[in-house]
Amino acid sequence: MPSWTVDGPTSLDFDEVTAVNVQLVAGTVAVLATDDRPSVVVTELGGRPLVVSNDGGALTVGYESPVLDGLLGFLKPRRDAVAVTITVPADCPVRLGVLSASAILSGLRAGASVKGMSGDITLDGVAGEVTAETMSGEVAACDIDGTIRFKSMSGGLTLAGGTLDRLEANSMTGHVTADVTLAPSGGVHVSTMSGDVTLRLPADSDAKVRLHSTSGAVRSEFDSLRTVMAPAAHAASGNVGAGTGCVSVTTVSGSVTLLRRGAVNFRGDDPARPPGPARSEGKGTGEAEMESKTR
Amino acid sequence: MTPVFRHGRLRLYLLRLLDEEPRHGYEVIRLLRDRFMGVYAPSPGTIYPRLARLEEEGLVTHDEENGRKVYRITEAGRAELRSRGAELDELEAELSASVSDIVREVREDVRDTVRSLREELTRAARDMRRTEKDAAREARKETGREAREIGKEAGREAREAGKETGREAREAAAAAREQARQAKDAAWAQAKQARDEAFSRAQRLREDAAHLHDAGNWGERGRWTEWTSRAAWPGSHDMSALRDLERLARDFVADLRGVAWDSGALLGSEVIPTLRDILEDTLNRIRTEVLAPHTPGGTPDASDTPDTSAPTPTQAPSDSSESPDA
Repeated sequence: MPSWTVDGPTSLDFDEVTAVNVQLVAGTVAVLATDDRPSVVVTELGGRPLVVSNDGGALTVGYESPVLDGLLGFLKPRRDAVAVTITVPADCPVRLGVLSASAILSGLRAGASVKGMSGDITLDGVAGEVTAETMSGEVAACDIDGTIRFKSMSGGLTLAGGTLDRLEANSMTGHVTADVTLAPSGGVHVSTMSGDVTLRLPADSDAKVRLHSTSGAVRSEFDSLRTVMAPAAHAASGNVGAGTGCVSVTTVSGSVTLLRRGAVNFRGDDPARPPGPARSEGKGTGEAEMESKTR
Repeated sequence: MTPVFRHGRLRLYLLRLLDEEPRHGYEVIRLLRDRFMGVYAPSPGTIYPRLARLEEEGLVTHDEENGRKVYRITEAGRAELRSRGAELDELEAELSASVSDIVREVREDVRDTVRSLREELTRAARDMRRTEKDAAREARKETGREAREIGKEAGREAREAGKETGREAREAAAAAREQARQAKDAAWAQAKQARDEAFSRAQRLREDAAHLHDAGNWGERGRWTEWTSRAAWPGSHDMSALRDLERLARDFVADLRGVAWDSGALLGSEVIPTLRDILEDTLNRIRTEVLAPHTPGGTPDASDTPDTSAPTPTQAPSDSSESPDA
């Protein structure tokens, strides 16, 4: 099994990568989809050397010893700070475990699993089965297609755009904010303790909706829902459209807001969003192709 | 990020790409784009003139393959690359850094999007809440105003009704007083009339009786007390006279009762003996003046007549004395 020990900024290329597994502590780790050769680019490295191995396409980036070396390992999170960028084919499934590191995943089409503690997780144009679990880290995601499973203690989840077959979000105090399109017979299941839940769905969605909050406010912009504001049981339920999909939100003290969106895509419709230089640069030629590369 | 290639660097990088293998123009463009993960996408208008310049300098050359130009590096070009090796390494490092830039930009882009989304949704939720609140406040205001108006209206109506009722009550009281007065007057008038009538009737009765007596039919009449035992009525004339008498007596009792009733206040225990005296007197007068003349020329039953009629006067006053209590 070819293996490299990296103790400084470097760049590695691979012929073939079919799966990625990354275990890091602190810093920044990015996994980007590319049509080019898979690569691992280390631009910053502090603390222990990184170990990169490629076992017949199974690319692993991490440390010799486990990430959590000892029970109190996470108390010194800045020790092993790195900045790593990994480029892989879009159809490569990715597994990421980080402690305080920020994770950025872009353009992956075969799903991703990110488990973090305090680090933020950024997902951009990821499709497939996506799992994001954090303790306190925020999860920010744009244009996720497929299934999302989100678990957090105090971290929030924000989803901007995308078509979901399924969204499962559980948090204690973290908010859940989503502006998504529900796939036919797609399901959204959100439950929080005190986190506020704000969902925006297209006006022409088809879903059986059930919103419930024990003590928080429950509001819906969909007129077809029946709102009940009984003491200790605020709820709105009913069918939106044909009711083929399912939207179920349960919170204890958080508020639940279900908003209605006109039939326009969030990202395509928002002129207020400052176009990043990354995208504006490529506007001249082959935009579609460029987009597929960038994500 | 804008100046991906500083002056002369793109030229160097093109040489490096062609050093790997011969490529045609479009492939070079694609490779450049891939290398920068889409961040930098040079247009053909940028690349082809540069390739032409390199060719002019003799660093590259081209062949036609299927109508497309395939560029390959020349020995001069390779020499140029070798002489600028250090610069090339620097370029590679910069390109790695630009990959980090991509990461940073992806992250910032997503964060911006997410932040603006959250702001937008928060605003939408707040607007919704405010609209709801406004609606509720409006409804509350409306309800309050309506309630106040209803209250005012009700108050006004109540006052109107009170005034109306008062007036009505006063009117009713006046009407009642008037009615009472009228009733009293009517009663008095009625009483007077009844008295007059009674007198006139008595007079008429007396006359009738005298007439009957003169007609000499009374003999037949004298036995009317035995009518129950008779097979046939005395005759239509007798029958009507009997009926008249009965009606007279009944009317008299009724009149007397009416007078006593109307003047109820005046009717005391001392009135009864007086009435009895008057009625007895009247009856005696009836007996002597109206019915007595029959006795001399009448049947042996004539003596019975006073006996049979005797209870009538006593009965009449007793009736009239009881009736006020009824």
